[in-house]
Amino acid sequence: MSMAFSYTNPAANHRSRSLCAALLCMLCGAIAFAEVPPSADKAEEHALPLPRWSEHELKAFRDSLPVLNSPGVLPPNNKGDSIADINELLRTPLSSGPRLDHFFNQRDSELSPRLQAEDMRLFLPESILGMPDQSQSSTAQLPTPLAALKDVSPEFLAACQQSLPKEYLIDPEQLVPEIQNHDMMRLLEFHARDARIKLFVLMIGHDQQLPEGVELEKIASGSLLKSDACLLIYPLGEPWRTRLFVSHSIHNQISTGFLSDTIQACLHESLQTSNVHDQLRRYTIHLSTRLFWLQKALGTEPAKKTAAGQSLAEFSPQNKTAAMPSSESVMVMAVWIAGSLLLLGLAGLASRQWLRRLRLRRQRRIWMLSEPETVPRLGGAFTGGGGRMIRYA
Amino acid sequence: MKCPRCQASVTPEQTTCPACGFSATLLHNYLGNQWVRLERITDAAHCLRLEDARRAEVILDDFERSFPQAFFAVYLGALPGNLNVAELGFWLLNQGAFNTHSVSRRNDFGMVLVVDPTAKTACISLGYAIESCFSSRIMSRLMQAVGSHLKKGAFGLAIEEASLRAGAVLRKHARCMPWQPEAATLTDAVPDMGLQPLRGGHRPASRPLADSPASRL
Repeated sequence: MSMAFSYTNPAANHRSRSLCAALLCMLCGAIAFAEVPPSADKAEEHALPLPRWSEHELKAFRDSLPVLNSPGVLPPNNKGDSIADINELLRTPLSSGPRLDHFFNQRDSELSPRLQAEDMRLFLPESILGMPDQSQSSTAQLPTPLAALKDVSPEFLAACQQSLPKEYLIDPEQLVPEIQNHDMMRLLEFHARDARIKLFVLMIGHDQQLPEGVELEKIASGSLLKSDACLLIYPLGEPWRTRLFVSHSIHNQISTGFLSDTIQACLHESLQTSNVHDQLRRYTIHLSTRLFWLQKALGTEPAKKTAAGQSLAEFSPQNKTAAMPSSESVMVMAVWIAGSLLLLGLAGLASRQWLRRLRLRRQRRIWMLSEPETVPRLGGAFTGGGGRMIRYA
Repeated sequence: MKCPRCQASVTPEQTTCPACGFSATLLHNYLGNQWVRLERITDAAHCLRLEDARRAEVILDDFERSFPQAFFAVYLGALPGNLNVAELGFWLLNQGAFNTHSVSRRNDFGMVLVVDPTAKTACISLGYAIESCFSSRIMSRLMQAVGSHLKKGAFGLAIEEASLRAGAVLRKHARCMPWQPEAATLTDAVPDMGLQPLRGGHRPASRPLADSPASRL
């Protein structure tokens, strides 16, 4: 074949070359069009224009959805009620975002028919919700007069007794809010995990008190007697009226000074704040720390199990002072006074004797002997053998 | 009372010892019956150091100031073999004129401590007026205390101990009264006339008296 082409004429060769060049150009053009094929959607988009809001439609939309006209949902209309073009309005940047408080305050809103602002307070701060600060109602108030204190109800005590053994924060009346309650529960559970002396906190109202003769050993299903425990009766908002009960085995081992210091330190720590819940938290944390100290001081050996029917021993500075029988204290006082008077009298007599001797020494004194009638002996005019002779060798 | 020579008991109104025949007359034959002048402390045996002697003088001064009627004298010396300390004490109280503060002190209110360091014997002789103040038990204790010091050669302490104990015993039998200075004192012109007070304040007292005649002199 090559030999055949080599022996053809030049005109035929020129026609064949032109044909090849044309074919090559067609092939390149086909490849170029194949790389960027035209999209069908784009073509459709170009074919269908976007819907555009007319002013009439916009007014009808606003009238049909009054909620959306509330402030914060739609961009503010800076140009008054007349909106020339809704599209321009939507394209403008938002000057302020929607506020949840404004949004959820509309109780008839279709977007939030069931959520209320009080529910949002459980997980959002009040400042965001635009609600008044609840802590103002949690600040400490004036101390409740003793005459105004009322005993807790039997139902309250029954609820305390039915609380679970490991429910260290006993709050039947739910005086502690949920968040603080969970914090306290975690704290007390953490304490119970590591400490030998379990700490139970019983919450009562600021105007409540425990009745006389209440059986504290039944609280928390009787778990207070199963191990070394400390029960704190805490009147919310009045930490100075707290009552502290500890197991007898612990109460007998620790000194009065330690317990007194503990209560005073906890009270001082709690009064650092005026928020009643912070007071409770501070009091409990400090008491927990002090119980760890006490455990370290008592040693690692656990105390003997409290005898059945034996209640907890209460300690408070007032109770300690009141625990001493009055007659005994009067007797001790009388003994002290008598001893002091006796010592004072002896000191007075001694000083009087000393002063008398001093006065006598300053005022020179002499001693005059009597002159007895004597009969001479052995012929002596002045002596008759009176005296004594010795040999000292 | 006991005989100074044989220590036999002697009852009052006995002029001689019924056991040995001792009497004052017998001593007069040996020592004489004249008065002898003595200092309150006569250290014939040279037993006292100067410091002890001065201290003893102060102690005896206090004794005489406290008891204006009584005095305490001391004689330290080696005695001959035929004379014991009790006989010498007997004779000294009867025949001695002790150089005390006041001439009016009578010897029956006197006490004499006689010590013979050679024979290791000691005796306290008492005058008639004060012998009733010293019972036999008191005298035994007193001499025991004196003897303990003498045994150690502490003659000064022995004198001090005897004087203080005797003063304590006498205070129990004496009547206490405030001291009043003697009214009649020498005027300033008397020394120019060559007159000197015989006694009183011739040595400084242990407790100086503000209004005593001695301080004025």
